[in-house]
Amino acid sequence: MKTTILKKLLVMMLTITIIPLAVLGFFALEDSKSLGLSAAEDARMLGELNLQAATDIGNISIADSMEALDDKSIKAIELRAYETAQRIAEFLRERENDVLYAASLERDAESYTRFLETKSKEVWETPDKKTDRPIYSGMTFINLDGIEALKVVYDSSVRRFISSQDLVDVSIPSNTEYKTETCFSEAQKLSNGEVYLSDLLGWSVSVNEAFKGQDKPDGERYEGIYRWLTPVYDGDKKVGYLMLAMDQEHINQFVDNIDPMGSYKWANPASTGNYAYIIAHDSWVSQHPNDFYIRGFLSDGTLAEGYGGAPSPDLADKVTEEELLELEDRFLNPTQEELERQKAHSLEQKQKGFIPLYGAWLTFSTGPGFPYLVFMNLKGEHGSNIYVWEGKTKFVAMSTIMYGREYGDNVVNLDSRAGFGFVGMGANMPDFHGAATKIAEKIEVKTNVQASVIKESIEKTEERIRTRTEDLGTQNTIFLITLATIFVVAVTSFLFAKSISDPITKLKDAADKVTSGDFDTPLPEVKGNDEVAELTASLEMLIAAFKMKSGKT
Amino acid sequence: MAGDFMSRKKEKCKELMLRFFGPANSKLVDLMSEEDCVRKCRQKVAVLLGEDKAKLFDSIK
Repeated sequence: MKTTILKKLLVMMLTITIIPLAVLGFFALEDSKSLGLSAAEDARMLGELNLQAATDIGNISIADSMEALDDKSIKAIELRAYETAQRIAEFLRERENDVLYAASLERDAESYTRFLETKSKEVWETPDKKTDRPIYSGMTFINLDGIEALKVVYDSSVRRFISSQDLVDVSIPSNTEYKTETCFSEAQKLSNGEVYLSDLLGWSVSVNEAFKGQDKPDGERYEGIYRWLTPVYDGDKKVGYLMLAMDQEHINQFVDNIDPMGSYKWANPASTGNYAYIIAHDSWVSQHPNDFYIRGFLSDGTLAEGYGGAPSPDLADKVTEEELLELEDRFLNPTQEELERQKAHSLEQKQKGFIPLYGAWLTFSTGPGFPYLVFMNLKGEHGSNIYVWEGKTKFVAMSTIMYGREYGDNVVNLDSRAGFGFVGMGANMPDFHGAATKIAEKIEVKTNVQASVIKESIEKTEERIRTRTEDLGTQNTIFLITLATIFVVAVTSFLFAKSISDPITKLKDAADKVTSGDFDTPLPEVKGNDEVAELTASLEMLIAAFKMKSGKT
Repeated sequence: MAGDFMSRKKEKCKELMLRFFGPANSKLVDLMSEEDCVRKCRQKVAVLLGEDKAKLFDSIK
């Protein structure tokens, strides 16, 4: 087959243009796919990073909020315990002033009655009723021999004070109301201006019958008293002792109607885990929503034994600083043997039905958490701790009731930093975390919404990019553009090659005719002044020369 | 004018080249300079067609 200039030119031009174009088109097509896939992957990764950032920010916010709100809750409960303890201390201080003032009164029934009638305070008796209740249930003048010389008592049946003729020799404990009272002998140790405040005195109430706040409002109440005593002087001469019996209900009122996680409410029950109580300076429970936890006398005049027993030496015994440290170690970390003893004793006490709590000796039930609070009180501290009680994990804020010799008061028998004891305010942990948990839940909901929005956005973006990438239309566009370009290049190449080859072909055809003897054959018309034009001119000259030589001119 | 004079030279050359050879050669004169066209055309004519015909270029001034 003859290879013409046109073919050569065409092959050459198509080779140098169309093949690279096709290759470029192929790579462009492939690149568009991989670029799309890579963009989809990048979008997914970016979205996931965004999602992770949103989740991290959410978690950090939750942790920060919980910490901040827990911290706020801790401070709020600690402050509430502190304020309550302060109010109790002030109340006791007022009573101290009362007894000192009362010692200066005329020793007659009328004066005593008048004094007692001015001393009353509102008490929340039922959910709907608050009434004024006498602070003191009795006032007695005892002579130096221990014989009651004048006694005015409150008769609840007629709701007024009456002069009592039931005068006894209180120097003999068995003559006293609770059969074992030693108040008189304690009073004998007092100097002018000094005061003695007894421990809580009252009859024990059993587990089954006791008042349990709103959980058992018709239960038997623990009705106790605190005795205040001070010497009475006529001039410089001591003539006897003045004794006031303070109704413990007034101390109860400070803690019985408080919900540490809420507001005030009548007889707030202990079953919620959120309640307040008082532990006396000797570690015995003296106020509690469940009255059976308060220590009292049994009918035989003996004091009920503690729930888990009580150690010896008792914390009410005088102990040195060193001994206190030893006791703390022993009470907070009892031996296994001691724990077993506590547990066995608690079972015995339950069977008897009387389980007053001795706070420092409750490790068998609360772990060291509760005894730790008692030792904080013994050091005169304020703070908080966590322990488990009756299956509930509790946060408890404690505050020492700063009434006693250590705090500048005249009461001689409260002579340690423990003061009157301490107020405990317990909060059930889920309730305690309430504020923080609510915020955490809100943040979590927001974070989850944000996360789902981001997730959805990632999926949509990825899907869109993948769809666009895999879209045949996009690929076809690239393919068609490549094809069109190839066509244009091919046509252009053909025309260009033809513009070169055509004049040469025509000239060649004319030369063929000349060589066949046809000297008059017209040569192709010359366009331009390129090499073809020159070749045409040269052929013209050759033909002219040949004609002349052959005599045809 | 010199330009007109020189153009006439090229016109004359073109005319003679058209007569002796053909349009392609006549057109080639356009590519020559005014100074050289007479000499170059005369030379080609002399070589291919003889001195007699070439002398016709001598009259071109």
